[in-house]
Amino acid sequence: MKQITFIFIISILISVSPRAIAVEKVWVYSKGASLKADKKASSETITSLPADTELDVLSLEKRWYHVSTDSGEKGWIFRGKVTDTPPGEENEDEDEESLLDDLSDSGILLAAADTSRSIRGKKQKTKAYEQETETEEKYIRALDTVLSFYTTDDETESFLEQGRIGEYAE
Amino acid sequence: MKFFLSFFLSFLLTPPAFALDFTDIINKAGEAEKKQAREQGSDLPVSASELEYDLETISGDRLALEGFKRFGLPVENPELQKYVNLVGNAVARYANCPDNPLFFVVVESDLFTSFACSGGIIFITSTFIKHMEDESELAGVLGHEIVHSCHKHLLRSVKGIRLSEDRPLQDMISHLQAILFEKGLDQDMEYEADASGTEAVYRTGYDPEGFIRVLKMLETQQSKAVEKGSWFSTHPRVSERIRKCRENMKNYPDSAEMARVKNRFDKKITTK
Repeated sequence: MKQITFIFIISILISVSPRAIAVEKVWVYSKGASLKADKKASSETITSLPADTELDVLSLEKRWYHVSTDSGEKGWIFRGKVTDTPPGEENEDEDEESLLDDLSDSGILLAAADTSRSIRGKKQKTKAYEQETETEEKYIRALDTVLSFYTTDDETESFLEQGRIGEYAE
Repeated sequence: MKFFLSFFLSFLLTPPAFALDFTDIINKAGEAEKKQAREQGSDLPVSASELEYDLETISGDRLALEGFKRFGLPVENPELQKYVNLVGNAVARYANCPDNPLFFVVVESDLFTSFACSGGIIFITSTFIKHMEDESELAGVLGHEIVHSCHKHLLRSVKGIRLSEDRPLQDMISHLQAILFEKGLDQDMEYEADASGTEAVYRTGYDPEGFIRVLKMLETQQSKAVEKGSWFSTHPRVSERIRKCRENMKNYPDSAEMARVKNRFDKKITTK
């Protein structure tokens, strides 16, 4: 009798205990991500989503996640643009410390060899090196040419669309 | 790291003309910035990450110049160069790279090789591309190099190396050259580039098996291509790489439905 009572009580406890709800989360992984109204790239953009934005997954249909943001907005995002690994955990095995981590407070860290930080042009020190070593003109021109190969985000987007790649494949 | 500290301090303390010029520039630039900062009442703006990027790009420029000397000049085909840059930048978007730009260049060479200089300059040879079948294969190879670049594998390979006191920058670049063009990177870095590169390719929307097809193509070429400077001399055994990549394919069950884009690839590769 005691055993039956015990089992009965345990059963009651289990039945009324709150169940853990498995809410799957993903995080925005790539730049240029946005929440779409439908699961196709041409659909209306609801909002842009910065990298590391956390999203609650509602469903996955083919290559599109139906998600909800913190503010409650719902929409679709291409699966290639999200990860189920929280930010910061991606490369735990890799030595991520700065190559110059000892110099963060040093007076040496000044705007040294170049000040045009927004544009990756040929460094002044490279030009000086080319002169000092009398680098052949053809190699100097080759480097100049390569460093002129800028690709804009719009060009890349258009390229993916024309190739029907990724979110443009559907 | 301490070796970088000693490397920069050595510029301040030793007289060779090259090191003095670098130090002189740092000091003059520093003084100008300090003056501006004092006038504006703000702290100096330059961060460790910015100086690190300067170091990457200075060394990268030198490596690229050496790369042209060793492997050949850029193919004179602007459309092809643009195309390769578009494929590379498309994959880079999904490779979780820093915001620094990447530049891809096809050079005229008989060798089967590609490599990533520091500072975002990535080389691939004309012969290597010509033996590929479609855009997903090109994306696979570029994805591999993008991971090397974005994870700074080359610079990390020289961490801890003792540099000469009188010419630390030149010494560092010599070490980088030896690794990039002769010895190769650590095997773990290569396998990481294979795996993470394939992941980036898949995220982009390309068929991730494209990279395995390229490795198989290289395997058939291996017996003919024992020349120094080819991929074989600087990378792990191809058969082992194929095996590991195959294992990873379980993560991409719908790979057969992903884009290969053969038509566009054929058109661009044969364009004169």
